[in-house]
Amino acid sequence: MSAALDAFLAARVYETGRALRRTSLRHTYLADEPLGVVMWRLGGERFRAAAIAWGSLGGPFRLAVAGEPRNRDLYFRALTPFAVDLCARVRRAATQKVARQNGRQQELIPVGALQIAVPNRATVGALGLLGRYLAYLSDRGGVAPDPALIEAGKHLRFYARHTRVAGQSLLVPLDRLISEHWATLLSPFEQANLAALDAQIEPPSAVHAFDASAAAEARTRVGPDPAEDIDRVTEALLAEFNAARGGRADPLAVEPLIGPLRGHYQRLVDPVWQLMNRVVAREQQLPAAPSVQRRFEADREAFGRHVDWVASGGRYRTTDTPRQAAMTLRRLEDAHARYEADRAVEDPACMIPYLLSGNAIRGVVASVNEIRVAARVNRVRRTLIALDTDEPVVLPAGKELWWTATAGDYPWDVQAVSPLGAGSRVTLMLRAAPTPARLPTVGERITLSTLHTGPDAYHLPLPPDPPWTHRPAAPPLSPEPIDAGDSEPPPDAVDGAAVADPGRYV
Amino acid sequence: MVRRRTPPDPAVEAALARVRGRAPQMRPNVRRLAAFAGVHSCPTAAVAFAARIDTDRLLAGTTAEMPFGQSPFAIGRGIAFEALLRKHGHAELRRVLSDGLGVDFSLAAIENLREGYQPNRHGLLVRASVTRGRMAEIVSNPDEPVVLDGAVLRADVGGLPAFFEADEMAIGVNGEIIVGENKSWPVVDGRPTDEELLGAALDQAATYILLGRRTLEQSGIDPARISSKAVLVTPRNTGLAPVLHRQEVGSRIRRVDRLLRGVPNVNDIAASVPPSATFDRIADASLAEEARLDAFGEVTEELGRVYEPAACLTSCGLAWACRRCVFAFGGPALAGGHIAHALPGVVTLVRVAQLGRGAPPSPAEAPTAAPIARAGRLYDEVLPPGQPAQQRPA
Amino acid sequence: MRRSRSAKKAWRSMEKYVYHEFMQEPDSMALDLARRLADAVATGHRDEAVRLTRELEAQLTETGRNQHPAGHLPSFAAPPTVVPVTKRPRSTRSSRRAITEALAEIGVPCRARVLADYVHARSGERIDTRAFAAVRRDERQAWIKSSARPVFIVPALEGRFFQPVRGLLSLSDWPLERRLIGPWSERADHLAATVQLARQLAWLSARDTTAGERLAPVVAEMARSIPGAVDGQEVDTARVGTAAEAEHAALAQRDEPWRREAAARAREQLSPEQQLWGASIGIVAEGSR
Repeated sequence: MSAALDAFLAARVYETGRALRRTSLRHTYLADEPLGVVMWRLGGERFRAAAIAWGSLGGPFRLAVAGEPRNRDLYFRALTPFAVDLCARVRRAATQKVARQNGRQQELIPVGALQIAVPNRATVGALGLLGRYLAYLSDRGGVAPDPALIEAGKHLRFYARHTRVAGQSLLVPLDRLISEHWATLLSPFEQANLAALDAQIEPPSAVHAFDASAAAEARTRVGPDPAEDIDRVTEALLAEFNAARGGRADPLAVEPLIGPLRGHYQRLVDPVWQLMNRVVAREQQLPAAPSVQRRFEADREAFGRHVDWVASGGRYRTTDTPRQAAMTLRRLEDAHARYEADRAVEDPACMIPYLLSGNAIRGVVASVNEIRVAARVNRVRRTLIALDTDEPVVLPAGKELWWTATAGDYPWDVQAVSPLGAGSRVTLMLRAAPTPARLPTVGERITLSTLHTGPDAYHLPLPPDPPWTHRPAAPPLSPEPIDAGDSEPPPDAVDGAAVADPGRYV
Repeated sequence: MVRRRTPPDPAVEAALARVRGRAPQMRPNVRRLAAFAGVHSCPTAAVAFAARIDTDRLLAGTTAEMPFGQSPFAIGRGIAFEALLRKHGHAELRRVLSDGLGVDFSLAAIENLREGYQPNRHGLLVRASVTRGRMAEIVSNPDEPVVLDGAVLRADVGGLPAFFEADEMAIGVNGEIIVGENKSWPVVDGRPTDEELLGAALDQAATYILLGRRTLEQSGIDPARISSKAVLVTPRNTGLAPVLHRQEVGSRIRRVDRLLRGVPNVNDIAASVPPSATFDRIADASLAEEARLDAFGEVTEELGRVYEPAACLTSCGLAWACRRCVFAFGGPALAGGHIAHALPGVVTLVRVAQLGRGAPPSPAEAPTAAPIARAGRLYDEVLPPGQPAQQRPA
Repeated sequence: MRRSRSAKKAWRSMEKYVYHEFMQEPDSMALDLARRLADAVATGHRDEAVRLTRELEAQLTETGRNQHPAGHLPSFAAPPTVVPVTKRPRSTRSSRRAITEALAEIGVPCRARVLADYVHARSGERIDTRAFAAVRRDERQAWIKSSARPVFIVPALEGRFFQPVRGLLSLSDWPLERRLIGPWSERADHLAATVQLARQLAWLSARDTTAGERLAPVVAEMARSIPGAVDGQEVDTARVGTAAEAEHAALAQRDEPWRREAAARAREQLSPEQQLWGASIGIVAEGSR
């Protein structure tokens, strides 16, 4: 029944004119200074970053503008500093390792991992495509591309694919981060706009969140895909740039001419950079939930594995085999379920939907009694508690519930439910030996739910793309380069006003 | 839907022209029809479609105008891709169809219905008649493969006949007609780079198939001769070299069919539209924005609005203006269709907020109110309201 | 440009002769024939020279204006080889003249882009594709004013209702069959043009290496879509010609009967003016949507 909660929250936001927090804790790990990346593509071109900006959030960004990104020389020359920096940061983050006990073995995982923050999920997709392109570049005209580009491509692909894991924090699309932690008046479709989300959270004084976000939608462009008016300017500047350089691609010819295009993209990136800083700073203030560290550790493990593998010249499959796909899906589903459980158990605000749907109960402990119960061999000690709930409870006898404080431990079985005042009295028995840690005290207000977080309950997420050396037999399908089209001359741009039906050419 | 091809009633035409006023006009095509199917249950959208109003441009010059254009680079790429397919006597098209369909198209008859006809109503009439004739020929005489580039289908939607110019092609192979769509976004590793755009393209193909099947039926030909597996021709990887994909769209065809059957008949629309309802003032660029948007509010109030963000924001140029009206009124759909559906019996967000604070519900509201009140209690317990309430909307 | 001296002399005397005959507008068709005649004389191809003299005579005496020998496509008797190119010196020419000459040399209905590429390859002159629209309009105006041009640039016509095909240009002195476009015609015409240009390239290679070098990429591009025509970097004109002819023959079996039938219908239904400009000229204003 989270629809009731969503409706309530929307109504409250409507009434107050500001967005509301959905959670009391932050459920995504945030580094002190994540690496921010903002990308602007050339319209219609899925593999061409006309501009890419990067830097540690909280500080300035570096901006790379290719000029004519469809010219391979110019494009690679612009991307190389970004690639070099990305690879250096990845390597630096993976250098220091710490030992971790895994059963009988000790394994080494990195102390930290490079966290990348991007404005929205569309940018995640764009970086993934860029990575696919760069990771398998072919030699054109006998000139091998800079190895940093290829390595960076592999990193980008890994990061983009890793976002499938629920609760991960290696690559954080900030629109999703905000949507998960805030309730706004924006519909799911509109929530993909980071500027609109931020505007609803902190609208100017005396302006309603709705009006603030409507203005932000019209004013602030976030990318990675440029709107018509942006690219009309790009087209004019690019035409001048191309005419002036007259087919030359050497730095001496190009550097003096790149100014106007750089300025154009600088003006587009500035507001997005400030927005990202604001958003991250705000969320860093919220205390992190306990399981955030555990999930980040899983991220670090995947990160370490990836870095080792790239260092040894590893190759990825481009698409999963059916069996791999099924296994991956299972792991991802389990990761999702575990993430949901963690959030609800740790954060009372996230438990609300389960309370509403009857999958959780909350009340005051009226009594705690020890009894002896016949087991298989002899009689064992068990504990019975009586819980007085605020709301009426409908649960069958035998239903298993976990106390949120011991959600990783044994469950309580419902013994009986009887009406009491406005709510119910629920009798529950702990299905394990009563140790002090497992028992609540009389008068304590507790929550029990169907959610549990025991280590055997879920398949903890392995990297969704394990190294092929760990698999039996089948040789990896080497993904092919996709850059054959780089040698085609770029098509002329055509303004929509010059065409009878521009929508036809999407 | 009216099946008989009756001549349009002049009274109906006059009524719709009055509704339109000076609002910019559009020519319906398969893309617009597919988009309209998503919002057809909205009376304003239905009237605007029947009156051929260009909803993208109606609010030009106001802050409610939604951005809808395309980057010149994207358009240029699309044009270049189509030109590439047609160059040298359709050389690339022949190759990609041969490779993708396993039939030799090097000697195929490729009829170009775009260039040889006038870009006006007369041209459309002629193209529609040629299309009908050719489709019948394809079905009865499967000698060699045939391609119709720029087919026009004449169909009734809501009783109003219209010419639907197809982006796509009709491909005749072995007596079967296959619908083909060109798009300039790429396919990489066998998957399209944009799932949403793929969905839109498949919806368009499904709409075209639907209209084509109706055309065949009217000519007494088995509509199943048009395959429900559409062809998609897109670039592969970087660059523009084309590759072909076939995709089953049967369920989309059924969905669009169902949606279009629900479109009110234009005679009913013309009869039921109140005489005062016209988009003329809304389109009047000499008026101040506020006057235009007020007019919008009044007209759509009279006609009726159905706002569903996911459908409206992607299909209708009036969505932002509509959204403002919904906000002013406090409609729950503002935050999403799922929220509106969760609140039967409760009409405004203000009321939801009151119920959330424990206000006594009416008998109609009672079932919905209980969980809301409970949600409110639980939420205030966890995150007590700390900020003062800001001004509520008027 | 490496023309032999005798050819230059022969050419210059021809040019003067042809020009003086028609003071208003040089007859480009005749000029073309004259040039080819001069080349044939200079290279000693007697039979060719005799044949061309007859053609030129017919052209100049006007009786030949509306009749054309079958296979008007000029032929080059030289053995095919691989070629480089030079720029032919030209005085300032109007775009119209360049387009007319290009169409005459290629011999089949063409698109603006193809003609522009060809003109650039042959003479170095660049024609903006937008200029084509202006030329089309001017041609129509000139016809309306009954200007005495021997040849007009007219649109190709589609074969059902004989409406002009936007984007395909042809010459008014071509037989109707050649100016009608059917389902196989665009491909067939492309192949015919490729054959023609391959031959021309072969001929140029022996006489004008710089001209050949410029034309070679145009031919390579046209041959790209023909299976077996191009292999590697060099343009082997014999190979291109053979491959293009083979594919053309197969298409011609369908295309030619279609064109004959369409032309017969057109002659029945259309006035002479409509046979040139298309049937839509009866509609004066664009209809409403």
